[in-house]
Formats: sequence, structure tokens, C-alpha cells
Amino acid sequence: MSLTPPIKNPSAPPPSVEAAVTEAAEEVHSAHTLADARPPSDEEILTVDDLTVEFPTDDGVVRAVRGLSYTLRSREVLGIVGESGSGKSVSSMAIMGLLPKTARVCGSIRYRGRELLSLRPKEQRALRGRKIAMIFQDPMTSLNPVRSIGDQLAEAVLAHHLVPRRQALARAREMLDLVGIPQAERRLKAYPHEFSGGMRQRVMIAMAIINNPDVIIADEPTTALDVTVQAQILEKLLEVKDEVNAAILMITHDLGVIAGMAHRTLVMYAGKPVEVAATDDVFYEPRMPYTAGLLGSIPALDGGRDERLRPIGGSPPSLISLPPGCPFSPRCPLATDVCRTDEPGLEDVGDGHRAACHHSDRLAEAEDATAFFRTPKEGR
Amino acid sequence: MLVFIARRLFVSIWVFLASTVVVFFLATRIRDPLAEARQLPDGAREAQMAEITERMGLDDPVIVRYLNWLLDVLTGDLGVDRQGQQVNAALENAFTATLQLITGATVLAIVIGIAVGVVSALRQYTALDQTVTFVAFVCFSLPLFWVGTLLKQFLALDFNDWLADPTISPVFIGTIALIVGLACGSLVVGDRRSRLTAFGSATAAMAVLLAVLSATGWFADPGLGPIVIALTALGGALGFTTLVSGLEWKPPLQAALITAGVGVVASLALRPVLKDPELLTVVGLALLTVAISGAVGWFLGGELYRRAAVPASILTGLFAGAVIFTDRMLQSFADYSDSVGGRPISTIGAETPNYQGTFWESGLDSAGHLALPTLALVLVSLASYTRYTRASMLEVMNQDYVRTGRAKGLSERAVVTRHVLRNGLIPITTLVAYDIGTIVGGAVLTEEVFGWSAMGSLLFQGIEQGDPMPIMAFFLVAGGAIVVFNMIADIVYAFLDPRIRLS
Amino acid sequence: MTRNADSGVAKSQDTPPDDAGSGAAVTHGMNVVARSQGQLVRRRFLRHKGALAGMVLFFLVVVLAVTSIGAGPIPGWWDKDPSTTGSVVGEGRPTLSVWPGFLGGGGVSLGEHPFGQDNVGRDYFALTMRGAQVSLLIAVIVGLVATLVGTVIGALAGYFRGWVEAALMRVTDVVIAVPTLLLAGLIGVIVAGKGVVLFAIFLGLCMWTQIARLVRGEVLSLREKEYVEAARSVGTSAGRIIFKHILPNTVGIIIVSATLTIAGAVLTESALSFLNLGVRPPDTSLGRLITDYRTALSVRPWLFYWPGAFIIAIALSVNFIGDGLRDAFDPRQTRVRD
Repeated sequence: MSLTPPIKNPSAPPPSVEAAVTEAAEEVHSAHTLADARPPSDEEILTVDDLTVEFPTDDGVVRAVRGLSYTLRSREVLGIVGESGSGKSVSSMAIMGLLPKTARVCGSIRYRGRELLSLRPKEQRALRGRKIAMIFQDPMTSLNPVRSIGDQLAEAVLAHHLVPRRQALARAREMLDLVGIPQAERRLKAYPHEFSGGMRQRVMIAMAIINNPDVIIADEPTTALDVTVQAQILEKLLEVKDEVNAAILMITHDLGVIAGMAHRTLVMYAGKPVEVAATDDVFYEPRMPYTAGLLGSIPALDGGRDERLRPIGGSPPSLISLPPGCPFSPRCPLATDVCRTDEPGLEDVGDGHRAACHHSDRLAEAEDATAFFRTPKEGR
Repeated sequence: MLVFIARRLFVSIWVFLASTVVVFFLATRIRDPLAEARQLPDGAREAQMAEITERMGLDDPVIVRYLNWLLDVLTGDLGVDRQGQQVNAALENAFTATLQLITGATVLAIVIGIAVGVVSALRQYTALDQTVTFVAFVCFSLPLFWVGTLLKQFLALDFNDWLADPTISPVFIGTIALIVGLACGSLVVGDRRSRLTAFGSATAAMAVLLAVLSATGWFADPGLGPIVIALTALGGALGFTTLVSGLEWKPPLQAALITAGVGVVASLALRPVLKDPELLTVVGLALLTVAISGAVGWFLGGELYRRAAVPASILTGLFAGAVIFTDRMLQSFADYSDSVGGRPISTIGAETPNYQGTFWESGLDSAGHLALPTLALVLVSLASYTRYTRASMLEVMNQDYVRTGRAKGLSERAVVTRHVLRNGLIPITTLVAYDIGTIVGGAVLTEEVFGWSAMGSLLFQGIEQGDPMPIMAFFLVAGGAIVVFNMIADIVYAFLDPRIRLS
Repeated sequence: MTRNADSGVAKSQDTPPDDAGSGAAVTHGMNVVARSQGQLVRRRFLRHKGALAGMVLFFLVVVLAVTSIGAGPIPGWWDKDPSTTGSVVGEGRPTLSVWPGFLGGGGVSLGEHPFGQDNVGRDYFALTMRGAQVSLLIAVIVGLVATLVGTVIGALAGYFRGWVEAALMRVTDVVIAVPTLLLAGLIGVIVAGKGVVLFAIFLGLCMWTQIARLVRGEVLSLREKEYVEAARSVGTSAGRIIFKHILPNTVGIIIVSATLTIAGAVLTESALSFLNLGVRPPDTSLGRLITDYRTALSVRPWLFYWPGAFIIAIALSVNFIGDGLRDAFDPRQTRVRD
């Protein structure tokens, strides 16, 4: 934490929870951003290689992930962006080994060179929560409502360390302090419903970092929260990441979340990566129409009065029966015949920037890539 | 919380009062209480009618009769029935009998029902789950009186006949062994091979066991003996430790094993005491067991393992105690069987009239009388607990916080015991409370089938004679139980779920 | 991860897409064919093997009971009358044979008295069919009455809140406080001899409390929904909101609990009749038959088996249907507690 907490006057009444929350919030706002964060090293910590995940169902095989590859380096923040059904969450559950038994997983996931997919359940469990931790989308339902916060935090410690419970609780208290929950000692005995959504997500962060993991997978950690709280949580996440020296896999459908948060960004569509680049490059020089479309769907504050949103038409394809060729082609304004027959692979389009599009050069030439998508008015 | 309880209590009292009005009113409408007296010859008739009218207050309006009854009840007097007998005394006997009848059955049904439901949910969509589901539906659809009558006719009579020459036919041995083998095979987690191994070994073991028991005439003079007791206690220690903490850590296992050992030694040392103990002695021994095994767990567990070692040790201790208790009872079986003419399983009533025996023999006498009604009640009520538990467990298993538990790296056992069971059983607790409330009223059927003179006889007496007093006595207990347990259910729910506790 | 009961698709926060998980047909590319709620329910119900088997069994029992001895003035295909006595043939043993001839049995045939005869020579098949008819009739009436009363009381209590709710729920509590066997038994004695229909209606009046509690719970949550707010804000009357907007959305749980009430009613009726508090001679029912012949168990066990088998068949099939309906209406099978 960059600011020391205010010294409490022993004679003054304890601050109310609300006051304390505001305090904490202010504190966080002066905390650091990605620019302040410790830079990533070159050490590859998590490598996903040609990962595929399929679910057999009555209606056919759902191909949720169809060949995903990426590398996460130590202390790096990698953003994975995509719509619902793009396979981003499924791939992260595959890393955690938490997919249902019916799932068929192929490819390779290596943590520091160890293949995770061939680990025995016991070995997998030893890594889970210890080396690779996860923060889930909905803090309201991700905590057990009938057990106290301290209990649930201590449990995470005791699952991996042979220490007395007292010590695990002390560690839990320390973590609550770290994530900015006031009166941590007292809050250990509280139940989840006594916390606000943002506070609960802080608890989830505390739970994720309690064993000093190397990788934190944050699956839409702010989607269920108020906008004002979102920023606090993201900053807190960046801050604790440095505290424990972890890398973050930030999964989201919200490009805004990625913007100030990730070193690199990977865009997924229909179970495949379609663009990978440094986050700035993705934002300012998208080379895949889908990315451009996502950018066009964000309202810009500095846009003129007549500037309209440019949404992507149609809806994501069924993962049971994908169209031939590029899965985005039915929705793509640039689509040509080749798009409808050949699925493009991920190609280098310059300086570590990779995109899967037959027409990425057209996007490169365009001044405003989002302009390919029409506003609803034009479309009429 | 106190306000909540007080409010709930207040409402319950009014609800109960209102329901007494309804029942009293209905009870005065069922039949003319003077019907028999009217048939009497001329001379006796007027006197008899006047006497009954006077005793029952038939000349008063119903409301006055009700108020009189209510005022009496508030002073603890349940009034007199048509013949002028005190209802209080009748109720006391009836209630004791009913309590005897339902307690064991209820506890068994709840424990077995929940256990089966949990296992069924943990093995969702397997053959075991489907079998359990189907059997539960069948049991759920059984008319209790029909099953009871069948059990009386076949199980009791045939079993008693069989005891005269207790050998088991090879076909029967094969069937039982096969069923046990299938159950074991479907309980084992793992690949086909380990399942087949479990199935094969369980089937073989069961078959050999039954064959030996049959050949040695064990069923005529059963007992366990020190070696079987020791082995069972050992198995219990291993089993409970696996359940509580898993076998990977030494201290809890050590504690459980030592407790089992102490238990076996104690069973030998206590032989003279257990010859013909008082009930109090047995209760005292049970408490002592808890204390000693708890202490063993406490000291051997140390600070790190105490939370696992203490429960594992206590459970093992109690289990060993139960095994020793069963052994003692079984040893008395031959004597008891002889003393009741070789028919230990009884079909009627609560006890053999004027039976005198040791603690163990009278225990067997009660057990013999309770066996059939208990079996019938358990069969019929088991199913709903199984179904509800299964549904509740499945519901909880899909919750996000269970996934969080897994993501933390908890073992599967920890996920199940600390998150799934704990949360899934909260709604079951309240369901069980509701259910217990209705049991007294529902026991009427069992009593009728098995010829127990208990609460039901009050009801039938009242209905036959058009007499509200016994009916009201029945209702005070049966309806009171419903109201009280409904209240308990709500309070327990509020207590177990912190979300409600605070609001 | 939620296991979707419909397709077994694992649904995490974002995958697979909802339209596949919830059973809508997905054709090539982006064309998504929506299915109506009714189609979904029917599809899920038909996939429930137990429910289908229950449906078939229940249908068979009903058809057998109704057509065999006919109903009212309409004659059935079975020529014997349940009340006619006659000479006892072959100790009254059942003549039904289902063991086919090529397996060494006597061939598949009904014979003179398929279910045997009682001690005064009445045809037990006809008697059992008469009992099954009455038991079914009672169960259905109980189901209808209980559902109607329970739904109305639950809906009013849930919608109006305040003192209406307090009063109605206290009434419900009062009925719950009286054990069903006692309440129904007393009423059964009071209306004895006035026919089974009246008895069934009163029995229904004792068994509505579960439904009332369930419906109230549903209505309580539905009345806070936006579309109900919308209806209220444009001045729709309370009655219209309840019957047009709220109740149609609780139809699933109402149907499910009605079904389970019917199964419960079969057992309750037979228990009451067994205790001599329900159906009385000259009427008969399955439970009544068991009572009448229970002493004959050791000499003529078939007199005891047949009505019991029919009670179990009816209760079991209806319970299975109810379970299938619950899965169909509520794939998550959430309702554990009302």
C-alpha cells in the first residue's frame, strides 16, 4: 500500500463501516496503476499450447475452445477479451482443472514447464489455490453464505500448509488488511452477506493471494460490480499482484477493463484467438475486424454529438455447428468469398502483433478501423 | 433473535388455540354419545342417559363445553371420558407407548435416509443413484398398513419358524452376497477394474461369512466374541478417520486406533459389570466413553490435528461401545428366545405380558416387539428424506462457492463435508423438524396394524363413543407436536442460516 | 458449474452459449429457432424415462378400471358384477395366467375369475376394479379441490400481503396444526354414508395447505417483477394481475404439486378407509378392500395382494409423473423447502 493507514486515535469512537470504506476507497485511488507496477520478466510461467475443449451434448459436440495458445510471463498481466461463448472462461477453468468430467480437453497447459493436463488429481489440487489462484465473477455467490469470512480464508491456507488454525487466521487477517478491508480482526467473524459486493470481491482477492500464488486468474472480476467500485477493485488487484509477485490472467468481455490493466491482450472469438498484441496496439491498431467492432461498440466520452455507436450486427455462432471458413464472416463487413471457405490462422502482422484475418492489411490501411461497421442509422 | 422467537411463540399459541376450537367443534359432531344408552331397557335407560348427559355436559351449548374443557386443560386436567375414566391417566400410558414406537424408527429413518441421499447425490447419474431413486419412489408409494400386514405375516412368522433350524439355503446366500457385492461395487470410485475387484471380493466375503454362520448354527445362539469385536472396532477407527480427516495424517488415525484398543480392553474388563446392568450404568458408560475418547483425541491430536482427532476418536469410541453393547445383547438371545417359546419377533403389542428378565433380555423383548413396526415405518418414511437430501445436495453442489472451494485446492472430502454437506443439510434440518411434528399423528396407522394400545386408541375410543375428551387429549399431543416442531423448524433455520439470523 | 438437466451441457458464466444450453434448436450459422416454453417442457418431460413409464402405467390402470366394469349405466367388457355372490370355484384362487405356454406355463388367459373370489364367491377382479374406480375418483377430486383452494388462498395471501396475508396464512397454520388423519377422519365420520364424492371434497379441504404455501411463495416473488409493476402502473385491477399475469407463471409448480397431492390422496384415502374413517360399505375402495380382507391374508392372500398392488401402481405412477413434471418445469430442481 502506498499510503500508510491513518493513525487511529484511541479515544475516538471506532469509525463506522461506511466511513472506513470511503477511507479505503480514497486510499486505493491514490494507489498505483499499470505504469507503476513492476514490469514483467521474461520468465515464462504459464504456457497454453493448442488447447481444445469440447463438451458432448445431446444436440451435438459443443466446441468451446478450438486451439488456443499463449504464454504468460512472470508478473505480466495478460488480458483475454471476448463475448459470451468465446471460450475464455472455459479455457481458464481448464487451467484450474475445474471442468466437469464430461469435458474433453486436448493440447497442453504447462506451468513452469510442468504439464498440467496429465497431472494426477492430487497433484493438480496441490497447485490449485497454491500456485494458481482464481477470482470469480460473482462475489455474491462465490462465498459460502453460512461460514464466516475468516473461516473461509483460513481454509485456503490450511488446504496447503500444515499450520495451526490460529496462524491461518492471523494470515487471513493480514490479507484482509492488504486488500483494504477495515477492521480486519472484527470482519473475520462476519458472514458474506454483511459485506457489500466490492468488499466481497476484495475478500475473494485476499483468498486468491493468501498462498502467494504465481498466477492469478481473474474471471470477469468486476462485471457484477458498480462502475465506481470496479476501478477500485482493478487497482487493488494490480497492487496485490506486485505484493505477491504474481502474474494475472485477466478475463473479461469489457475492453475498458483491459485498457489500463493489461500488458498484452488476446482477443477470442468462437473458441479461437483472433488477435494478440500489446494492449495499446490492440486499441489503436486493431488488425482483425472483430476487435475493431468491439472497439466501435464502446461509447467514447470525447466523441462528438453526432458520433454514434457502431455495434456488430448478428450474434455469435453456435459452437455446435460452426459455419465454414472464418467464424466471424457472417457478421463481418469485410467478408469476401475466401472468408466463407477458409478459416484464417493467426499470422504475424508486425512487431509481435498477430491477427487471424484474411484482410488485416485493409484494416492497417484504414484510418479508423471501426468505420467499417455501420451505425444503426446508416444500416437502415 | 429473542424478539423473533417471542413473536413466533405468540403466533403459535394463538394458532394452536384456534385449532383446538376447530377440533373440539368437529369432535362434538361425529356421533350421538347417547346412542348406546338409548337401546337400554326402559328402567335403566333414563338413569344412564341422565348420567352421561350430566358427565359430558350435553345440555350445555358447544361453546360452553369448549370453554369448560379449556379452563380445565389450563389447570392440567383433561377431564373424564364417557365412562367417567380420567383421561390424564389414559393419555400418559398412550403417549409413553407411542413415544417408544416412533423414536427409534424416526431416528433410523432420518439417519439412513439422509446418508443414502448424500451418497446418491455424490454418485449422481450412476446405477447406484438410479437404483436408490427408484427404490425411494416405490417406498414412497407404499401404503404403510399394507406393508405392515405383509411383514407380520411373512417376515415375523417365517423368521421365527426359520430360527428353529437356522440354516440358510445356498440360493439365498448367493442372492444376499450378490446384492452386497453390487452395492459395494457401485460405491467404489474408480475405473472398471477396481469396481469389479470390489464387487468380487465383497460378494465372496459375504458368501463365505453367511455359509460359515449358517453351518455353525450361529443364528440360534449369536454373539460376536472378542476377536470380531476387535476387528470391527479397528475397522470403525479406520472408517471414521477416513471420513473426518483422511488417512494421510498420522495423529488422528493414532487417536482413533488407540480409542478402539481401549474400547476392546475395556469390554473384557467390564464383563462383570455388564452381566445385568442398570440403564443408568449403560448411560454412564456411554458418557465415560465420550470423555475418554475425547481426551485421547485432544492429547494425541496436538494443536495441529485437534479438530480432526477429537471427532474421529469420539466417533470410534461410541462405535466400539455400540459393538460391545450389541455383542452383549446377542449373547442373551438364545436365553430370551427360549423363554418366549422360540418366537422372538413379535407381531402384536409393545411387550410380552409379565415378562421378567435381565437388562439384556428385556431389551431384546422390546426390540423383538419394535422390530416390525420400526421396519415398516422406516421403509415408508425413509424415501422422502432420501429424495429431499439428494435434491438439496445437488442444488448446493452447483453453487459457485463450492467451485470456489475447489479452486482453493481443498480436497474433495473437504469440499463435500465443509461446503456441500453443511449447506445442503440446513433445509433438511427444518424439513426433519416439520416431519417429526407430524409423526405422532401419523403413528395411529402403525399402532393399529401392530396392535399397540397407544395414542391411536384414544382417538378411536373418542370417535366410537362420540366423546370429545379423548380426541382432544390425542389432539393436544399430536397437534401440539406439529405446532411446536414447526416453530422449532423456523427457529433452527434462522439459527443455522446467518442471513436470516441477523435480519 | 451448473449441469443443465436438459442437455447435460456444462454452463459456466459464458459458455456454451445459452441458446444451445436451454434447448433451442440451432441450425447452421446464426439462425436460432426459438422454442416455446410449452415445447421445452414437453421435450424435457418426454426425456424423463420414469415419468413416461409412470404415464403409461397410470393410463393402463385408468383404462382397465373404467372399461372393465363400465361406469354408471355404461356397461364394460367384463361380464361379472362386483356385488353378485356365487359359488366359490377352486377355493377362489385367481385364474389369471400370464406364463406363456411355450415356457411351460398355462398360457396367457384371464380365466373365470382372474383375481380370484372372496369367501362368498364375489368376483374379485370386478371388486378390485370397482375399488380402483372409487379410489381414482376420490384422488382426482381431492387433487382438484386442494389445488383450487390452495391456489386461491396462496395467491391472495401472496399478492395482497398485509392483514389479508396474515389472516389467510394463520388459517393455513391452523389447518396444518391438525394432523391430516385426525381432521380427515373426523370429517369422514361426520359425512359417512353421504357418498364418496362428498367425502372426497372434504378430504380435499384438508389437503390444500402445502399448495397454498408454495403458491404464496411464488406469488410473493413474482409480484415484485417488473412486468407486474408495469401492469400495476397502468391501473390494471388486482384480480386481473393475479389471474392474467401472476398465476400463469406459477402454473408449473401448481401442476406439480397437484400431481403429488393426487398421489398423496390415494394413500391417505386408503389409510382412512383402513382405519374405518373413510369409505364405508356399501361403497368400496382399494383401502376398504384391504381392510375387509386383511384377516384372510393367511388363507386367501390374493384378496390382500390385488388392491395393494393397485394402490402402489397408482401412487407410484403418479409420483413418477410428478417428478417428471418437476424436472420439466424446473430443470434445476430447486424446490426443497417451501
